[in-house]
Amino acid sequence: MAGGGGSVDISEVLFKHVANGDALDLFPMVPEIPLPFGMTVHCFMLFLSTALILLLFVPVFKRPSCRVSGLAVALESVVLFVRNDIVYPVMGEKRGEVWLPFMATLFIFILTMNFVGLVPAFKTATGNINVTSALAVLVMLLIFVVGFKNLGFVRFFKNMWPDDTPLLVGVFILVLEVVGLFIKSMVLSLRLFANMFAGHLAILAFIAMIFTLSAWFAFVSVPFAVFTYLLEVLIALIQAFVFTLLSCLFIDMASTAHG
Amino acid sequence: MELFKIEPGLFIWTWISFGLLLLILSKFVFPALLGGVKERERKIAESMDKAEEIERRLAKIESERETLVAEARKKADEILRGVRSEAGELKDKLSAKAADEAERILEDARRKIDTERETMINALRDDLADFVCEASGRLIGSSVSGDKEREMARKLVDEL
Repeated sequence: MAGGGGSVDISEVLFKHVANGDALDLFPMVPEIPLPFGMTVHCFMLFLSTALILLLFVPVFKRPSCRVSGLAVALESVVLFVRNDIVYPVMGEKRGEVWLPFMATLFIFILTMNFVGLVPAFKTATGNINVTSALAVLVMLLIFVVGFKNLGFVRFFKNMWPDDTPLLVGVFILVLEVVGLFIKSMVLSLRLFANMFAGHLAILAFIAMIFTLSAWFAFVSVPFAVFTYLLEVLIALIQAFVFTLLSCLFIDMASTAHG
Repeated sequence: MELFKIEPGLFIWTWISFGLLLLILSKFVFPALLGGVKERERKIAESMDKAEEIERRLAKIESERETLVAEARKKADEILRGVRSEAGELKDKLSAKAADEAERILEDARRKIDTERETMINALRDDLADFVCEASGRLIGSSVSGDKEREMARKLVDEL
């Protein structure tokens, strides 16, 4: 990072640390490591998270002898948390059992990407709108597919039509509801992206103050950065929970007839 | 803006990664994990049922035990009362028998004493009659030892 010479645009430096790139910029003094096959850093973090999940889960649960280890209990508790606190309360036990693998994978995937981003010098894949949008679009597609399958095409839209409403008002509400489905998914994506992106930016901003204002400012900005980092750990958990819970709710609402 | 740059590659790789994860976890991880959890939950539920059954049985046994103890106590009290009353009767009987026995022994002793006394008095009378005969014979200077004189001396002693 540049000193206080004024020749470097600090916002550019900050954004460079959170934005996507094609080389791993681990530490300021270490030269950048170019990624193979034209892979971007966020894509690399995405693959790293996927590999990490597979390396953690598959060996533990493939061999029955390993299922009693501390790691197995910890991983099991994550899945049970998704089952008992997200899927079953929203969908009920019968439907929840069908949706549990999807929701648990979604939760673990987002949580791992969030946590990988918390490792110093790594970047958060969920801090990229394309990653969060891909997941949100997947949820949106599922809302339509499951809704059409469970209720039928006409009933799916009729489900959004309020009873005993004048035609014009009904059409207006139906349009609002359909647009709402897209907005819900967009908000799902934006919420996760903004939270993960802003958290990292806040930490970097605190650190950048040392270079832009004064070295003495480290006594203030480092504790604040550490506090924000700890807050980020909590946010990483909460955002994975919120994304999974809302996905669960939207899919359940769209595929269940009400009224 | 750099932040909202559309990257179709990353978008698709996200889907592929998620799909791959879902596929592998659903095939190799979740069945084993959830199966184990279900098995454990089933065992816990069974253990809970068994524990409840044992508790119910224990309560039943406890109530039966209390009933039995109460009955046993009642019976013991009855037996004790019976034994006490029998012991009282026996004691009375034995006391009466002992008193009778003592009375009989006393009577026997009295009778024996009387007989002894009678015998002694008779012996004394005989001795006295002999003495009277001896003394009379010495006084008159001849022997007084015939049966007739002895009979007379005995009458005299009886009269005295």
